[in-house]
Amino acid sequence: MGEVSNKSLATLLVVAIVVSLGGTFISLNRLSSLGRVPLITGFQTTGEVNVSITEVTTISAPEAIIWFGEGTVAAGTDAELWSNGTKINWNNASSWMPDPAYTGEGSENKSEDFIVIENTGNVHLNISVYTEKNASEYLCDNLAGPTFVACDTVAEYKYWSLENETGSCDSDHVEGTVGSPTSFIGNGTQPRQQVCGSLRSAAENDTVRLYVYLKIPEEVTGSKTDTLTFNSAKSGAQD
Amino acid sequence: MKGYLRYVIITLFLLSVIPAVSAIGLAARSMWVKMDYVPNLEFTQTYQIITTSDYTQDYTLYVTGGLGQYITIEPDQFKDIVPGSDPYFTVSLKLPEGLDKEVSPGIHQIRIGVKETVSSSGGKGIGLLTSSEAIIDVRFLYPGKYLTAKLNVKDVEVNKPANFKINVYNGGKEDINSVRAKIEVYDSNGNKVAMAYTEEKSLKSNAEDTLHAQLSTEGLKSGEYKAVATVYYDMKELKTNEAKFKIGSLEIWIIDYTKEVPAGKINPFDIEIESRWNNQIQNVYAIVTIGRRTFQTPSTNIAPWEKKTITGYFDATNMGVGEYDAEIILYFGDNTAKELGKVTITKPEEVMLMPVITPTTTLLVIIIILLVIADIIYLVYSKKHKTYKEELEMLKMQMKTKQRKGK
Repeated sequence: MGEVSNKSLATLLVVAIVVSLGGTFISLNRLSSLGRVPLITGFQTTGEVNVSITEVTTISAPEAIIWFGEGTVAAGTDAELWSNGTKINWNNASSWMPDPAYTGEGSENKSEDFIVIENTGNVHLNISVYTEKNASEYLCDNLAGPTFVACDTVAEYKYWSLENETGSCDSDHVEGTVGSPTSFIGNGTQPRQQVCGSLRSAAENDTVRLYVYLKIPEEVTGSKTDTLTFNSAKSGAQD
Repeated sequence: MKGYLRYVIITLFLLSVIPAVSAIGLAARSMWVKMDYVPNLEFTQTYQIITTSDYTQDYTLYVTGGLGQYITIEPDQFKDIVPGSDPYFTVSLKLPEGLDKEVSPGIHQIRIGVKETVSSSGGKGIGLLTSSEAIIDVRFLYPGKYLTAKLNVKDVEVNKPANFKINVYNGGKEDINSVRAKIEVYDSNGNKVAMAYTEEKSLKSNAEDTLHAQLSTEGLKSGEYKAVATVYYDMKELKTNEAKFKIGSLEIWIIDYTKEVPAGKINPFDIEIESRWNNQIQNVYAIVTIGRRTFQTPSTNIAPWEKKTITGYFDATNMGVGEYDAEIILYFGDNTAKELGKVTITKPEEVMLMPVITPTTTLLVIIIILLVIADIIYLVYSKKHKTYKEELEMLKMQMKTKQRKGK
């Protein structure tokens, strides 16, 4: 095979350049007719990114223990126990709080005790509570006759809620106060009783407290148990 | 019986031991769905149960609300759900044709809930359960024209216009041709002080809109006011809610205060204040810092536009003479007023011991003087009496001596 002359190489180069430019011109011309863009320009198009954020209404109870301990009502009186620390006419055989037999969550010594509900979701939540028992059903359950009547007249089972962090729950939307707690109605699931009308979801202010107040007549004896059910639903206020 | 009961120990397991964090949640594209009823309405959404408790348990699903019978859930049972498995279920709603003739108009709410079943362990009392609910609202339109209205207004500065907004919604099946409103403004004593009118609009069935009105507040004093609107629509009318608003801001001025106090004692400290508000302000008090000492005045109420002096007590014992920085912070409602200045502590006041003449003192002095005079008289008298007796005795002696010599 003979050597290719410089003239031939130059001719091939010119042909290659012409073919390349011509092809580019034709391609862009066709693309422009599709996208209605000016001739000889880079081609681009627009796109959409759709993201749907799932709404989550999760709650947790990092402080789920209120422990009043064991004790007796002072003779001739009715005892009052406030879970924020006040006890009246109450002779406690064991420590005030917490349960001495329990060493887990909430077992540390403290002057008050309360339940904490945390909004771990991503929307503001309406937090409500309900219980099967009212004061009489909770405290006088094992009594009968005149003793029951005496207990039923005096017994009280109440709660109040409070922001656990500043701004976590609009103050108008908490329930009761330490000076005026709200009675548990009992009756199971209905009606729900408000804890926080709009518990915020931001991590820095997403918790609410619930305290309990008991008035225990002298007639009361035995172990007392109850279950509080805390319910979450998306709040109407999301600002 | 009671004596025995006194010694019976009551154990209150209100909320006892819970082995792990109690928690539950639901997740979906929308946790509160709102829709309008149409015949044969169908809606389907998938929900996920968020199982953040750390123990295996069953979960209960439930539905509440009058339209719950039209809900189907698949699957409807969740047993032995291990932590973190986060199972799904699908909710389907299918409303039959003609249901709007059977149910009352308005919003019918359906709640789909999931609840824990294990609240505690260890057999020591019972604890806390959590549940979470999704909401579906179905709106049924009222026959004819049905208007709801809500009045809103924001606080304004003095002499700046107040902008009223009335959100109106036609929840009826018929369109409203004309809707407009009159707004009346009342002061804290219930006197009507101003009126404003909105524009006129039409409002289609199941549509909402906003009516606007602007009110000049010139001539109205700072204070709290309330407004109520009457909305007129197609020969009908309704009253809205009362909307409270403020003109200006809650304000009290610090006019003057005690500038000098003597050292070495507890001094009254006066602060003269003036209300710049059209309503009574309660729980007004000041915290005063002079040098490094702080004291608080008692709280008081102040009437509208009243000037008043509140007094605290400043302990200037052991403080040197001189000029001190003073800070007075006046607290009222959620507001404060601050005044910075100087207070001079002067030399201690000299105590002048002035004789105090009382009737008792006068009487005592007179008695003492009389006693002294009596003593003097007695002494003089007794001395003279003694001299006379002695002279008499001497005469008797001389006479006896002469008689003996004569014999």
